[in-house]
This record gives sequence, C-alpha cells and structure tokens, in this order.
Amino acid sequence: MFIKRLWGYNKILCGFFTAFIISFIVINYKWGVVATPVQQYGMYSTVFYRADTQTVYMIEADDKMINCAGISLTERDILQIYPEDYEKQKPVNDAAYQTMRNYIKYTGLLRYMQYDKYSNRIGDKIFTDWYKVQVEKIIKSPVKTLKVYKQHFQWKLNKLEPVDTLTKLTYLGT
Amino acid sequence: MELNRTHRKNLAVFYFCCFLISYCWLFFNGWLFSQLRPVFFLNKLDLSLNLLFLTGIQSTLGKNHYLQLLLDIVYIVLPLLLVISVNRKAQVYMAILHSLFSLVYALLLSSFTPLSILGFAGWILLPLVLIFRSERGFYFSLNSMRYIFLLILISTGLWKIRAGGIFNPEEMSGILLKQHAAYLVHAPGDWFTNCINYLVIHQNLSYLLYLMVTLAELSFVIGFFTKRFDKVLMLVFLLFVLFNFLLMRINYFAWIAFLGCLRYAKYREPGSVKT
Repeated sequence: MFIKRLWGYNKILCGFFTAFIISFIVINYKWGVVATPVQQYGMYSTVFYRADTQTVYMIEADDKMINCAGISLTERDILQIYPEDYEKQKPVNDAAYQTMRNYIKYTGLLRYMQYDKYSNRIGDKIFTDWYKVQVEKIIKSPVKTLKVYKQHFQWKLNKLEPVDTLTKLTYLGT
Repeated sequence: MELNRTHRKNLAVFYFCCFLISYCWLFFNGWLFSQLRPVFFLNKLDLSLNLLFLTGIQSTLGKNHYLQLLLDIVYIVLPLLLVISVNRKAQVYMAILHSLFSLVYALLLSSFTPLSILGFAGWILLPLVLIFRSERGFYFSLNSMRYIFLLILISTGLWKIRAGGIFNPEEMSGILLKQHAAYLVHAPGDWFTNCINYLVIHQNLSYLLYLMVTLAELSFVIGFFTKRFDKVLMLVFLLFVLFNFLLMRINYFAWIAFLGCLRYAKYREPGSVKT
C-alpha cells in the first residue's frame, strides 16, 4: 500500500500528504469557505436550467455597437464580466470581509484585518477610464463616447429572447 | 525500470514547456498584471487569499505599475530557474519558492481578473514534486501528486452528484446558455450559435455529454487501484480538456502538466529491484 511505504520512507511527507487528503475531503464535504485555492473543484456542478435569466452587456463605442461574437474569448470576458464584477465588488467584498473575520480571528491576526485593505478605493470615473482603454484596445481605435447597456434574456421558443429593454449603465460610460 | 534523475529532468522540462505555453497564453491575451493594469479586486471566501490581503499588497498592486511588472517577471523566471536547478542542490529551494510564489500570483491575478484560480493549480502543486533531491524522494513525491491529481478529478465528478447537476436533465442546456449568452445574443445566425442552440434544444443529447464527462471524471478512481490504465486516463483527460475548450470555451490546457505525474509514475521505486 502506497501510504504505508510513504510512511516508511518519510513520516513528514506522509503527514503532509495525509493532511492534504483529509483536509481536501473535509473541505469538499463542508463546502463554504476554502482553505487554499487548490482544495475545491466543483465547477458547473450546481443546478442550471434553460429558463434561467441571462445577463448580457451591450457596448456602444462612438454610436457603434461592438459585436461580442466577433472578438476573442478574452476580449469578450473583459467586456462582459468586468461591468458585472465592478457592480458587485463592494457588496461582495464587504460580505467576504465580514465572513472571513470569523476565520482570521483564529490566527491571532485579526487586528491587522482593517476594512480599508479589503475594499477598493475606486470611483466610477477610474473604472470608466480603465474600461474605455480596454475598449480602445479591442476595437483598435480611440473612443470618444462610450455607452454600456445591460439587458436580460431568457430561453423562449428555441432562442434567447430579451425579457426587458436595454438599460443604460449609469456608473459606466462617457 | 526504476525512476531516475533523467526522468526527473525530463519531467521538469515537460513542466516548464507547459508553463511557458500557459504564460504565453496570458501574455498574448493581455492577462498579465502589467498589460491589463486592473483597478479593482474581488475578495473570495478563501483563507489563503484573506491572509495575503493582510499585507495590503492588493492596494499597492492596483496602483503600482512597477510592482505589476515585477510580479509578471518573477512569475516566469522562477520556473525557468527551477528547471535549470533540477538535480542540483538549489532544486529544493527553487521548488518551494516557485510553488509559494505561484500561489501568491494566482491568488492576486484571480482576484483582479475573471480568470479562475483553478487554472493555476498545477503551478502551485507540481513544483512540490521536486522538493526531494534523492531518487526515492522523487518517486514518493511524484506518486503522492499523482494521487492528488486523481482525487481532484474524482471530486469534480462527485460534486456533480452532490450538488445535483447530474440529476437535472436540463443541466447541460442551462450551462451552455450561461456560458455563451453574450455570443448567442450577438451572433444569432453564426455556426457556433447554431451548434449551441441545437444542443440546448436537444437537452437529452446535451445531458448525455454532461453524463459522459461526469463518468469520465469518476473513472479516475481506477487510478487508485492500478497504474495499468494510466495511459487511458491520460487520453480521457486530454479529451476532457479538448471538449472543455471546444464546447465550453474554457481553457484547462495548463492542467496537462499534471499528466507528467501519470507518465512517470509507471517507473519503479529506486532500490526496489534486487540485482
């Protein structure tokens, strides 16, 4: 048996290996908080339905809509994911900060866990400027006016159909 | 045949090649810190990330271009130094340093970008295969990593059972819509859109794909009992990576580096063969 031979070779390595396996099983069973990023893999295991609402961002640079199907995967990720991430960064970071305080306190380092470190000091202008640069890189041309819209879609009659009208993002755009 | 120093060198070179491809992918897609210059981060319920954040590096990183550049350079230099130092005294220190730095880099990059930290697992774990200089140490660390890799794959399959995805006939259709919503909306008549639409409409077919992937992940349990099928498992994994890229557009190519463990685990423990 491998673990027996490992114990015979090096008890410390065997201890680390066993600890990793046990913590991996415990963390995977418990879910929730992760100890390290290499200890939990459950991608696309939760339940998804065809009727789930999908959010799509429409980016208009100088009155011209960018076709997200005509750009690379990375570029699409930048255009589609960052507006959503920016929108949720404050609530997500605040919630994570509150939750993780309960775990950090066991390390004795809680006094170093100041709120400022765990939140972004960023305003809409900084994000808009950064996003505009990304758009310019993607379309390879300077952008004077940038508008970003959000729209929700649902699978109906064998295709994705809009369920609301385009909503212009107030925090992003020039 | 016993595992030897040449195998270790070959494994390190294979690892470095995989790392280099992964780094080039980051570079050519503009995902490196110094290229993207991200301005905000997202925290996660991850203890190691929150311990790292205690240092305040995330605040400095968002503003300091030189720090971004430094991290990007160190990130490529360390695996290079590791592969150079293999079978030398410095190998052990380089392996530990590279693993720790990869952890820090991956934690930061995945909190500043939408990149999943899972894509960096190999660069955090695999250098640890080289933390022993002796041949026997290499044998045991290599085989330990092989078991960890198998466990990770099996756990992804088990999670699909535990979280309920496998019991949902609409699962794959729902996943495809979530994954490709922007594409489907922007290119309604495109060939890829038609393929995805076909799979979404024919949910039994798409569910069959999901079921096959789950079974493929669970099939890695056989590696716990025998090494005889490691070549088959390698092939299954390569198909899994390819399938993920073609249909899901998810890049798991970095995980191919783990196959080095399966490739070299077939060799015997040094000193075990009596002459």
